[in-house]
Amino acid sequence: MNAYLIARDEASFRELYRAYTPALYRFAVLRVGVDGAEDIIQETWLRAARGLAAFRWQSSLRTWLTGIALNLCREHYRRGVRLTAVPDLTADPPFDGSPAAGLDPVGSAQLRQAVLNLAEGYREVLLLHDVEGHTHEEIGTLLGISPGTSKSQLHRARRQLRQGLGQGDKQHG
Amino acid sequence: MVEELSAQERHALHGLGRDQPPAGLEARVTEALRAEGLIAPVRRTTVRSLGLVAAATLLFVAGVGTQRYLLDAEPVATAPSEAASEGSDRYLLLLLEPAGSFLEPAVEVERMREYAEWAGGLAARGLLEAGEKLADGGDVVGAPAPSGPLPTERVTGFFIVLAASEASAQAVAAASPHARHGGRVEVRRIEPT
Repeated sequence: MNAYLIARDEASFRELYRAYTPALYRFAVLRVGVDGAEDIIQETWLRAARGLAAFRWQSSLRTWLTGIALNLCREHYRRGVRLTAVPDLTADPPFDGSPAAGLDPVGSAQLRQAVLNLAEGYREVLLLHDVEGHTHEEIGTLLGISPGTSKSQLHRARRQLRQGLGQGDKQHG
Repeated sequence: MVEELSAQERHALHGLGRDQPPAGLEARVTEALRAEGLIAPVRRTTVRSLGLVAAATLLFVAGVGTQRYLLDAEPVATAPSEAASEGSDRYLLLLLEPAGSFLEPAVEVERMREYAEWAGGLAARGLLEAGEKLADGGDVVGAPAPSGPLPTERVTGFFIVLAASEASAQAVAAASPHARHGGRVEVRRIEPT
């Protein structure tokens, strides 16, 4: 970021792009699908580059970029391109059920759909925290809620997700 | 209290985020930025050199508390030097920090941004000749150190700037993030050779 801030040259930008785009892309795919994600990424970087001068670095760069992408995803929804299913459901191989493979032998498609079925507020917090690794403080900044609210939303999201997967009565540690 | 995830659940959720951006997207985004003038055309640097400045300038930025950042700003396209028209001298700004201090990562990011702005502003005005960080460690050779208390400060980096006067150089140093955040900057004029 720093080199790009100063020089605005292509090499610096590409370095920045490569550092942050993989996470931004995954973020977008889980919200708007593969096709829409590419547009979200392009517009995120355009807005970021336009707004760098005004950026005060009160949050981390990752959080700032994620916030831009989040707003774009919401605009995407408002335009009526609401996602009803993650597009690559059939392309996902199921988890194999091995101890390290995930929630029982549940397929990733099933898991994605269960995530998609969560209430929007729950889904955002769960994706930001459990998939993308943001802290509750960062989530609070992104969603305009307190860290405490983020925690309680996450608690409910996980419970609802388990119920959606038919595992609501299981013990989890 | 947050309902905890099992290791299996954590793994499964992480698995949701495995999509990779398509190969062509980087070029597409880069081109979009270029079309809006958000990526500068490559220009050769016009930094007025006193015989030392290479086309690529490394901008060292140091924060109070040992965190340092190396900014590889290449090529740094700058305006003709302001100092060049003022009969400038070169000044060494030595960045001093309390020994053993450090920054939290979140603060480090913020500090990095401040240094980038400050150093970039100097470079754009043709007032920045060089900047380097100094690695941790090192040793003193030569005559034994005089006995006494251990040093409480260490030099963590330096800038070489162009300034029309000692007062001007001191003003530059005082405006640096290093000084603003409690660090000390020693300002020394470099003898012309």
